[in-house]
Amino acid sequence: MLNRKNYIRNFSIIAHIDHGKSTLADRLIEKTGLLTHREMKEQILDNMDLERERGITIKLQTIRLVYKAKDGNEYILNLIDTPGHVDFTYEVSRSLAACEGAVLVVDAAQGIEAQTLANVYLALDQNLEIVPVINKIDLPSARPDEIKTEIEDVIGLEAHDAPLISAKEGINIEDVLEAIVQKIPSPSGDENGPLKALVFDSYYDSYKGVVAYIRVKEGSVKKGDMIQMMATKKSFEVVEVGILAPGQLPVEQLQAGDVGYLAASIKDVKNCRVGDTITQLKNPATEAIPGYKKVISMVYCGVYPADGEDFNNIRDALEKLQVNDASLTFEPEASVALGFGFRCGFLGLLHLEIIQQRLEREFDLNIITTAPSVIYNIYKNDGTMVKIQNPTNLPSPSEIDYMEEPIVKANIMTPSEYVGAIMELCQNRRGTFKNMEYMDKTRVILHYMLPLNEVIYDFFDVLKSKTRGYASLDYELSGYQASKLVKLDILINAELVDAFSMIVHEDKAYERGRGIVEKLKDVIPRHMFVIPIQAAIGSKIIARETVRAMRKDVLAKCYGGDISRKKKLLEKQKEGKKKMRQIGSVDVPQEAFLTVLKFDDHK
Amino acid sequence: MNNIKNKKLGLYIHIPFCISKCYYCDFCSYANQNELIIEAYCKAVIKEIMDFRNSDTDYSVDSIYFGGGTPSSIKAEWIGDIMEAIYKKFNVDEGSENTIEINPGTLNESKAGLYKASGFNRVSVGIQSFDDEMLKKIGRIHNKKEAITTINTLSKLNFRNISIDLMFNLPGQNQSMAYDDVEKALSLGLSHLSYYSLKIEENTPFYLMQQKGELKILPDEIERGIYHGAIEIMKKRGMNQYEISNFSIPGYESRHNLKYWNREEYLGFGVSAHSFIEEKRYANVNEVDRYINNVQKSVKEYALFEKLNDKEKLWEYLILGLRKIEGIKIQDLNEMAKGKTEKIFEIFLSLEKKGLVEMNTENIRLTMLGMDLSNMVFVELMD
Repeated sequence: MLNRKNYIRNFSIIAHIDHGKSTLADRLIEKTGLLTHREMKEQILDNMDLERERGITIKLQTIRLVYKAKDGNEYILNLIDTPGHVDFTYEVSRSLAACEGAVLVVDAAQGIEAQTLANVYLALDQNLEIVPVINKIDLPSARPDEIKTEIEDVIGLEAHDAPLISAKEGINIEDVLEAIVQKIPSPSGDENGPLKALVFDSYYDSYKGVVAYIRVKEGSVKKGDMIQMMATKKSFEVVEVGILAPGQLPVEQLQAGDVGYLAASIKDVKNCRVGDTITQLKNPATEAIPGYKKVISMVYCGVYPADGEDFNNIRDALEKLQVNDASLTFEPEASVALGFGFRCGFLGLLHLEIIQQRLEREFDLNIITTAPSVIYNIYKNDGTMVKIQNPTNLPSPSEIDYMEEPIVKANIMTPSEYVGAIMELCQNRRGTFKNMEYMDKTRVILHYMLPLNEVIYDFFDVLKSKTRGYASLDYELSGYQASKLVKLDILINAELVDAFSMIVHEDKAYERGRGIVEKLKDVIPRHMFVIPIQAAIGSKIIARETVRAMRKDVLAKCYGGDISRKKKLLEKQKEGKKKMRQIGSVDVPQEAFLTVLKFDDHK
Repeated sequence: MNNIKNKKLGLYIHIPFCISKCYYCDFCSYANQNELIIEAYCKAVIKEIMDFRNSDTDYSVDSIYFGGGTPSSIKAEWIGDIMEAIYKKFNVDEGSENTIEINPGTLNESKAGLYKASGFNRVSVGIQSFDDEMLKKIGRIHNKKEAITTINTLSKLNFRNISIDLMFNLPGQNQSMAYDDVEKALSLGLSHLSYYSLKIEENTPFYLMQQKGELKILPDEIERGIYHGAIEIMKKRGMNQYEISNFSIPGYESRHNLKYWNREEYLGFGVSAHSFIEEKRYANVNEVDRYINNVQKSVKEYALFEKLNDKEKLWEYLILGLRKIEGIKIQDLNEMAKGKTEKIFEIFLSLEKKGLVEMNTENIRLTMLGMDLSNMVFVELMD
């Protein structure tokens, strides 16, 4: 039995975004002969359109490879995918907890980036053996020797024999496979002990119910077993276990060291959360695998149908998305301006954008999202504390003693020439400088404490543009801090539009209010009357712009009796009008709601 | 078509050739075409006319319109041949209004004489402006002098019904420049004037210039000021406005144009030509080669084909009829809507409140504000 585990390697690939993680995965699959090149869709692991478009992984794909190594033995290599963005740190840590090792892909031209480090630290937290690989050596700007030194200096990993590869060109892929076999330890764990299986991903299948992707750490599990989820205490009877070969291939049983899937007619993903430990109902394990966390939403926003009739369709769509995404939360709410909709909670701004786009693309819904918000702690004069994330629910200022806002610890890695620009940005976003570390002669890591509500307003976009794309960011919640916050309201034609309200720091209110009214002035079409657009704190107007009255909306002649063209133009105009939200007597285009999402303070 | 009975028909012939393309033009026209293509094209138009299926004779044509492009840019003999085919194929009324569009710089006395001999009694001259610098700026090939010479040539040959096209809202134009154009036009003793506001269309040189920030269009306030002022000037000089962009001495309204606004039937021949007959709208293909090819093979191919339902008919009736200054007759509206007018009147009442339309017991018409914001009115009427 010991023999069996000697020929298993469980590993992840970790990398900074765009350093070639998915391409390497493709090559490993191809090299081990699992799929021929023709059968393989480009980047098989990122199979959601949106993922491919953004070059990031959202849902995990796990795959079992069989590799005949140079020592003549056949090895089972379980490649466990990890999502590639700061919003999904917890998911990454659970995937890594299912492994004994990680292949660290570093771009031969760009070297170590913030997420490289963040992922390495996560891997080290799990005591993984890290196998560095230097990718993109085919690039003219590749400098593999320098990168090796950088890995040794900055991370402290032995890198002199790191495989030098080009995943894109298929160069030296075998070196990676050999390194996996030689360097990553085989799994340990007692097949005969009480079952401990880590859930590192789950999704809903309409036939099988929730399918959990698991790593068996101890013991074994087979069809017919009664299992229990150690965090939720729910029990189920196992219907099927199998391996991911790829695709689901049922097997007799999964034992310590194995990676595979398990189906047990579980109806709700909430009962099978990532990070939970599965054990046997009889002879249960005494302790769960450490590290389980119930993920909490950090960013909230309202999601409303552009067309009021779509309310139920949005609910259906959110329910469907939630089935595979336990970190998405939502509850119905009502807005004066937008009618009935949902308040949704997300892991971060990227998660928000992904959900928003999936609602639009996969479910063909026309939605309006309100300004994102975070959770504030409101300490009232009567000594009680309430948590609010919808600005509309903020108690009146007279009831409030003080307010707290969430603060994140942000690590920004950047070439040193941009330090000034980044410090200015962080300063501008109320950041507190912690310290700066030199990674090498040209690059530094800046550590800042930043209010999360400053990060969720296009911080990342501005950071990228100020550093020409070179800086990278990761952040984690560090705690709450008292802060002078106010509610900023926007009035259109003297009517308060609750969907635009936001909580901002007192010192930023004027600037933000001004920015928003200026932008709204440009996106709200002219009407027959003059429309004032105002920003206000309480009853005090802090900024005002005016949309002038429309003077002209007329078509020129029609040549040769082409009435159809004229009609089409009018129909288009009508369509545009239909997509607008009527607030009082003003038609507000959806674009207007985006202007508060993307506040730009370059100027 | 067997069932064209007791009908008045308009005919539109498209001549898609020009000496050069103006910077604002996005219509179907080609500069610098060679003689062979022009010949093939005109022969195709003649074949298309002759191939038109009609066995009945109980109908008649009361307007013929040659538009373009620049019909006067090709040999007058071709125009004559096409006219001949029309007269051979269709019953043309004695008093039919037969118009040809011409551009200054493409006409001489003998050409004008040939037009006259071919049966044309109305000429529409694309002058656009009398300001030489402005003409260059918008890509016209003629100057003020040639424009005036052209009008004189036409008068000399006894064309009584002369219309010109003028444009305003031109780049860098101010009110006095615009009114100089109007005054100059009125001094020429014309019977009809079309007054169009420049609109920047996609796929034109002006559009590209605008995208690059090289072309500044006038603010709406100035543009409307020019329009309102020009209407006043023309009114004082006896030119009656009968449609948003059209003015004439009473009795000289363009019969052909009115067909469009009155939803009367017309047939279009030539590339990209539009037809409206028996509540169907259709158009020929937009490429000359393809058009010629189709006609030669007797293939009917449409770039557009729509059959109108009652709701569409009603909307068309409203948006076309309201472009006329006299507006629409409530009696006609009742007939068109088959009595279901409750909702329409509701909309009209709200438009009246906003000052966009005027209603009395017989008519509904746009106010001046309504004309300025006519798209808004038409969009409201869509439901």
